Amino acid sequence: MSASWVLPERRVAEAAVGEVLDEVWEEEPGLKGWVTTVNHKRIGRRYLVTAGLFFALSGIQALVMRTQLIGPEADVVSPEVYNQLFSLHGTTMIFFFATPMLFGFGNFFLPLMIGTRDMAFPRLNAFSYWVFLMSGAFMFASLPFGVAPNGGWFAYVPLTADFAPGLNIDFYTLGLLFLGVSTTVGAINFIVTALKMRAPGMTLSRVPLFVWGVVTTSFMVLFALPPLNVANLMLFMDRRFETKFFAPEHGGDVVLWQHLFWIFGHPDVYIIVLPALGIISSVIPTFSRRSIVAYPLVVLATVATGIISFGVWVHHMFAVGLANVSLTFFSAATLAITIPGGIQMLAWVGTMLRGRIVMTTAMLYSCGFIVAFMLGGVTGVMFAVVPFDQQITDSYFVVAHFHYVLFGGAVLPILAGLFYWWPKMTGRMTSPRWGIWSFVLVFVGFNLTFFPMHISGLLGMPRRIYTYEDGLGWNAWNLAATLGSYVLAVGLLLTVAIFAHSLFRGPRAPDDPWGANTLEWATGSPPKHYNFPVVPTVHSLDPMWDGKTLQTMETHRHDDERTMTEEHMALRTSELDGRFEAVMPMPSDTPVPFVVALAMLAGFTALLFSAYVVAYVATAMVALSVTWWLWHRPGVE
Amino acid sequence: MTTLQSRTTAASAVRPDRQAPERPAGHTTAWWGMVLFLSSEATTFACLLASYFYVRFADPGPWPPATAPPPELFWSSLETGALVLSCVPMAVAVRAAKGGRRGALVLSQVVVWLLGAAFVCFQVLDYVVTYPESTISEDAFGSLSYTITGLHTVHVIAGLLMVLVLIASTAVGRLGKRRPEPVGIVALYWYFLAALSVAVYLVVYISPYW
Repeated sequence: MSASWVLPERRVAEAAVGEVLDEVWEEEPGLKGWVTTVNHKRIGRRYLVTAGLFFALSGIQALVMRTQLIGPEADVVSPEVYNQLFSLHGTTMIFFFATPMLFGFGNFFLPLMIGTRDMAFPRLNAFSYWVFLMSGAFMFASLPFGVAPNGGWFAYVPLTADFAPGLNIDFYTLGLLFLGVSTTVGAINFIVTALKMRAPGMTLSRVPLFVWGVVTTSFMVLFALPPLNVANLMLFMDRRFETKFFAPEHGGDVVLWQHLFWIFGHPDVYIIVLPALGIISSVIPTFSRRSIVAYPLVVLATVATGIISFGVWVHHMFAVGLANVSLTFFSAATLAITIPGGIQMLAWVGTMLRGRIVMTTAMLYSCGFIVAFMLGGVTGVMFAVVPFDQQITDSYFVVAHFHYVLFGGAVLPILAGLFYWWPKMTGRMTSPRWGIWSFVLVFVGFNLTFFPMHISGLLGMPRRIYTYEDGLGWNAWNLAATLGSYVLAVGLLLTVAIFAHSLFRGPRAPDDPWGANTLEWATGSPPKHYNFPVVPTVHSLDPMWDGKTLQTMETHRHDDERTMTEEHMALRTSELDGRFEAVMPMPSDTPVPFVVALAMLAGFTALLFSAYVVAYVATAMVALSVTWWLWHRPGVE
Repeated sequence: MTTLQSRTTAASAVRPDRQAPERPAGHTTAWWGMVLFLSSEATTFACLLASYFYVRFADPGPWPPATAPPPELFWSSLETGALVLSCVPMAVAVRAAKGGRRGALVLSQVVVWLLGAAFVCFQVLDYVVTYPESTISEDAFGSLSYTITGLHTVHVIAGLLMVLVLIASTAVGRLGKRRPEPVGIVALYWYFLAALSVAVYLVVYISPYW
C-alpha cells in the first residue's frame, strides 16, 4: 500500500505507538485463535458471513416455493414439505438472517464509529456469536429429517399446540429460546458500549445515526424478546409437559399466544428496520457530501419509532374478534407511527436535495431503498384501516407488504451497507461498473417478484397455499413473481461474485476511499486489532470533516490515557457528555464463551429428545462453565 | 449505596494516581450490564404475571378452579420473608466490601446464602407438603402458579451460585477494598430477586383470595 493512502494523522499516530499496540493486541493464530477470539471485528465478520449463509439457505427455500407456484397445480414439492419451507423461510429470514446481519454490522462498526477499541463485554460478544451459530444449526438440522417447523413463522396455537405432532414445533420453540440468549446479551453489549465507551468529546448530540439505530434496536430487544420467550416456554411446556396455558377446556386461552407473539412481533419489525435505516443515514450524507439534514429530528424519530412500536401489536389481530374499542386504539397508534417514519424519509431526501450526489453502488441501493420502503410504508398505512385489514388479512397482499418492508427496508440497506463498508472490512474496492448491474438486477427482480403479489392478493389469493386452481385469474401474477424471483437470484449471485472478485483481485482501498464523515474511516482498511492507535477527541457530528478531530490523533500521541499501550485497555467515558472517566482493562482471548455455548447446545438438544437426565447434566455444565467465566479473568489477572 | 460504591472504585482500582476529583465518576460497564439484564428479566416476569391475569379474567369460571386447592400461605409467607430479610446482610456485605472488612464480608454473604437456600427449601416444601395432589398439568391455574414460582426459584438458585463465587473470591483475597465492585453488582441482582418474590407472592398466593 502506498503510504499516501494512509491518513497523515493516523500515520503519525501509528509511528508513535503502533508497534507496541500491535504486540499487545496480537491474537493467538490458527484454530485455537479462531475459537478463542473476542475481537469485535472478527466476530462482526462472522456474524455477517453466517447470517449471509442463512440468507442463502432460506433464499433457496423461497425459490423452491416460487417454482411450486409458477403455474396452477404444479407438483414440485408435497404440501407437507411446502409447509416446512414457508415456516422455516420466515423464521430464518427474521431471526437468523435480518437481526444477526445487522448485529454483524453493529459489531464491526459500532466500536469503530464511536472511537473505541472493542465492545464493552468482549467475551459476551463471542458468546453471543457462538449461541447464534449453534441455535441456527439447531434449527436447520430439522430440515434434512423432514421435521422442520411447519406452523408458519408465528406458529399460532391451537394448531401448533394440539394438531402438530412430531418434533417440528419443538425445534421452533427451543431454537428460538436458544437464540434469544444470543440476541439479549448482544443487545446489552451494544447499549453499554455506546453509553460508556464513546471517544472523549462525543456527546450524545454527536453520536452517528447508525449507532442511534443499533442502540434503539437493542433497547427494543430487551423489552420485546421476553414476551416471545415466555410464549415459547409456554408452548413448549404445553406440548411436552401437558401444561394448560393454551387449553381453553382447562381454563387456558389461545389468544394469549397471539398477544404475546405480536407484542414481540411488531416491535421486531423495527428491531430489524432501525439499524438498516441507520445504514442509510450513514451512506446518504457521505454521498451527498453534506451533513444529514435535521439530525435531532432524525434521532427523535428513531427513538419515537422504537417506543410507539410497542403500542401497535393488535393491528396483526384485527381479524381475531377483539373489542372494537381496542381496534380503534391500535388503528390510531399504527397511523401515528408513520409520522417518525416520514420524518426520516424527508431527512434523507432533504440531505440529497441540499447536497451534491455521488452515485456509487451504495448510494444506488440507498435510493432504491427509499422507493421500496415508501411503497411498503404506504401499504402499511392501509392495514391500519380496520375494515381494509379485515378484508385483506391472510392474503398475498400481506406477503407483498411485508416483503416491501423487509426486503426493501432491510435487505436493500444491508446491500448498501456491504458496498459502502466493504473497503473498510476487507481493504479492497469493488467494481463500480458491475455494481450498477447488481443494483439493476436486484431492484428489478425484487419489484417483479413482490409487486404482482399485491394484485394476486387483492384478487383473493390466500398466503401459505401450496398450489391453486386454474381460472382464478392468479396465473399471470404468479408467473411474473416466479420469474422475478429468478432475476433476483441472478442479481444476488452477481453481487456475491462482485464481492468475491474484489476480495482476490480488487484494487487496494485507502483509509478513507469515499471521503466519508464518521470515525470508522479514520482507521486502517482493514482496521488494526486495536482500531485506533490514539483515541481522538471528537469535535463534531462529522468528525472526519471538521478538520479538528483527526488532528487530536497526532496531538494526543504521547498521552497514556489515549494510547493505553500497557495491555488490553479501553476508555470509559460518561454516558451523556462523553467525558473521560477511567481507563478500563479489557479481557483477551478465551475459550470459555465457546464452552458455555456448547454446553447450552447440549442442553437444548437433550430437551428436544426428552433426555432430561442429559439436560440436567448440561445445565450443571453451563453453571460450572459460567463459574469458570466469572472466576477466570484473562488479561486482567 | 451500590451506586456510590461503584462510582468510586473501578477507576481508582485501575489507576489510583490518576483519579482527579473534578473528573465525572459515572457508573461502570458492569453496573450498566446488570441493570439492562435485570430490565429484560423484569419484563419476562411482567409477561408471566400479565398472562396470569389475562388467563384468569378471560375465563368466566371461578379462580382458582373448583378442583384446585386455594394457595396456602404458611410456607410461601416464610420463603418471601426469608428472601426479603436477606437484603439486610446483602447491604452489609456491600458496605463491608467497600470498607475492605474481609471477615464481615464473608460472614454477611454466608448469611445471605443461608437465607436464599432457606427460600429454595421452603419453596420445595410448599410444593410437596401443601399440595401433594396438585400438578402443573392440572389446569391453567396450576400451570401459571407453578411456572411463575418455579422460574423465580431457578433465578434464586442462580443467585446462590453467584454468592458462592463471591464467597470463594473473598476467601482467596480477590475481593475487597481494591475490588469491591462485584459484590455491588450481585447485590443488584439479589435485591431484584427479593422485590420479585414480593410480586410473585402477591400475585400467586394472595390474589386468589381477592
